Amino acid sequence: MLFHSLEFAFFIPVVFALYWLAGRGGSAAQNAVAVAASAVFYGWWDVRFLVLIAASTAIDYAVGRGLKTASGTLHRKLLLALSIVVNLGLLGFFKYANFFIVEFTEAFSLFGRQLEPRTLSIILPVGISFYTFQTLSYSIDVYRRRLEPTHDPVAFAAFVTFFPQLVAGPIERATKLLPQFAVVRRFNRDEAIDGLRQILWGLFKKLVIADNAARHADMIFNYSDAFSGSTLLLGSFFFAFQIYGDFSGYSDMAIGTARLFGIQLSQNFNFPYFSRDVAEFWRRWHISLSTWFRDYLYIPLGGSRGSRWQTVRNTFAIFIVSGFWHGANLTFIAWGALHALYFLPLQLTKRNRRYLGERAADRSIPALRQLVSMASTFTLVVLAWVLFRAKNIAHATSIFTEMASASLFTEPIFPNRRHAFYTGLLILLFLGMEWIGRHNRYAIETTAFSKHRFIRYGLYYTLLLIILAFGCFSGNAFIYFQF
Amino acid sequence: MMPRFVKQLALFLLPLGLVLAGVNYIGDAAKLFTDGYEASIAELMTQGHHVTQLSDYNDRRLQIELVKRRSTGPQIAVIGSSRAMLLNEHHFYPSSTFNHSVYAATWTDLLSLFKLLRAHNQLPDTLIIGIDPWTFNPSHLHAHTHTWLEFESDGSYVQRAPSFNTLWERWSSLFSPSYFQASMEEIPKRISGDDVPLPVNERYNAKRTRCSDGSLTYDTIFGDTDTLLVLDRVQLFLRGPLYGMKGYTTTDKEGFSAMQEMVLTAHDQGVYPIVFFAPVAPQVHARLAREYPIALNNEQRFRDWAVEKGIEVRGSFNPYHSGISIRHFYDGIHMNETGVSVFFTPRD
Repeated sequence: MLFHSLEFAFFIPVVFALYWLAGRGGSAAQNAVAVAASAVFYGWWDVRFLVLIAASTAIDYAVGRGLKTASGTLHRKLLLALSIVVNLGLLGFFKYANFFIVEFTEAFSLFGRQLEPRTLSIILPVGISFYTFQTLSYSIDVYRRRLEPTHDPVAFAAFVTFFPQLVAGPIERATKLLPQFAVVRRFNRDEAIDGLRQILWGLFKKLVIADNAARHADMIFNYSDAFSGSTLLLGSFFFAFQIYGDFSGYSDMAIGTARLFGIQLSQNFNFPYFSRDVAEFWRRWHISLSTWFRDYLYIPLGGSRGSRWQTVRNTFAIFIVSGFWHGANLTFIAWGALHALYFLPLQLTKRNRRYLGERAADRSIPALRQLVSMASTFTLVVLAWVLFRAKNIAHATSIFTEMASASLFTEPIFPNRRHAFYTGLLILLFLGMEWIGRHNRYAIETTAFSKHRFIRYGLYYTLLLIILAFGCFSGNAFIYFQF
Repeated sequence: MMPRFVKQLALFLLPLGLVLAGVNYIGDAAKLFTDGYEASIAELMTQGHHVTQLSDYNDRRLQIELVKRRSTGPQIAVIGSSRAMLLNEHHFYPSSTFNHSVYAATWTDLLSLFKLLRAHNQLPDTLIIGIDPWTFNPSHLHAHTHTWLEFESDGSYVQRAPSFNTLWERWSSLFSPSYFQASMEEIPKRISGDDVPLPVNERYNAKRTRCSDGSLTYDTIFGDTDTLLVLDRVQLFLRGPLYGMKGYTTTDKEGFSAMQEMVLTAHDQGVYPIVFFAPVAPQVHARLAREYPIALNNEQRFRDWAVEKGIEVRGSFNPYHSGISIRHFYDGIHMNETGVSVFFTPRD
């Protein structure tokens, strides 16, 4: 079930009513409604997926309880290992099995043996990368004694399966989300209105920006052989806005929907395309995943505390694993490695934390130097997206080669340039609104604009009319569902 | 707190609903709220004109209006979806030809068209029956049966088919965002009077044209068969769920046997039936094979049955069977004139 589908439009009011009615029965009743609704939401794709998530939930709940009572270090380690093996095992089997089979057989051919790869017929369960990481964080935090294990299986199930963030995050930590399910949620009108506002902004990003940009990005990348370097570069820019609008739009809808139910989720994007260097970009892009890898991989590996070599190793590890998390393809690994190359010079010269403050904090337009930094960072990010979007390394190489040729300086020619022009105007409008609202959690949060009701409502209706007039209603799924 | 929130939300959405409904009602892209539009097209076509400057319209109603105005049937008739709509009199010259295909045809449409022709004693000598990938999908909505029920007293069969409520279709369209986009484009035409069907002498025009032989020609922009443009359309078609294929995991047995029965009935009544599986673009075929192999299996089953009964079959959903490529298409599922001529050679 997609957030921008008709099914969801019927689903959400029903769940909303049941959930708040259940509030009279305490947190247990609210959690039960949340779990049931999440099962319907998730099972809508394929009921078989429910078995998997139920198994993951049950095992991690049991591991948590076991860690509470286990006394010996070995026993605790074994329990943690069980959680890690089960979660990463599920992820590895469903997401990476075929990748390793193909790569293994290809590697064999290097030794003169030709093997026919026999891939498995596996459906990738939607959102598996997200909820396995979420449950893993619970087990690890309980193991590290940073979190008291819950004794409420329904609350735990609600934490794992909570439908707004189940299939594409934000990846929540148990320390933040689980306590919210332990208490009765009281309806807060202001929170709910703010949630609706964030949903509206998410819908705009997804239906207007991402899906319109996708039309051109898909065309240009799918038939890249037919296009000049300038068109390919333009296609990469379109993809940059497609993926940002798509994923951050989903996050806004998820966070906004959760707020309708009195649940606070973490901010997942913080206007990343206004970053002044790549280090800042990674503090603002897919924040819940970056911090997950920081806390559960990078810091345990030693972070930047060891020798220079160890720092380089750890940085590459986190970026490459992050890339591989996105998909079983060498292109994602290359994308991660390229970002590591972008990041390392900043880190090794200790300039990776230069930009912790707000961009152009006390002015409406950035200084020229900031503008140049933002533009150059954005261009680097766009070039890296080529690897992310390409079918394989050879495809990416051919795109880069064409981009580096003289055809980069020719007029971009591709179908439906008129539509592309309008899409470009919409993107400019979007960027303008994001810039104005960059101090907020999302661009149109109330404080960014006039407190006057007339102007505020005028903005909402304008956005809604733009969505109706220019939105794509063909039911395109979110890109990050495939991860 | 809660009732106030719900009330406030309802009040907020009310003006939006009014704008949505207002534009959809006034623009009315598919002429759901306009009477007599199809009759005016049928009148012009019966007078021998090609008709252009068309808004969307109820194709089933048009067929009924056309048949009612005609005393004798053509020698060759085509029934199918838009995928068969390009077949025209030039493919069968000198025989008289009429293309009765309707947009988004389901098997109940095919059956109703057949029954319409039979009820008016207009069965042709040769009947070309276009079968589509979605024809035997039991989950595919038979969205237009109400028109047949509304106009045909002989609607005994379609009444048993899953029906779509006329009122629901009309009033839900008032609040449809995609209908809004189409209707918004219609409003300037309404104001300037450009939404009135225009009789023309040429088959190919700046806008989509329904020809006097019932066939369709696309507007000059759509008819541009630049390969990249076609690939762009194929890709648009492939975004999101495949049209008509959702829930296609079993075969619509009722539809399958109804089509078999119709072909045999036609045959028994002296009609020469030709079953036509118009190909889909290679990319669409690849996705069909991957996600809905049942559609291709059903094609094979129907083909085997037809061959066994001595019924002529042309085409295949698989474009490679006929050696055609992307240059034979307008988009993901519609062949262009070059593509159609691979299966039905123009004779004049």
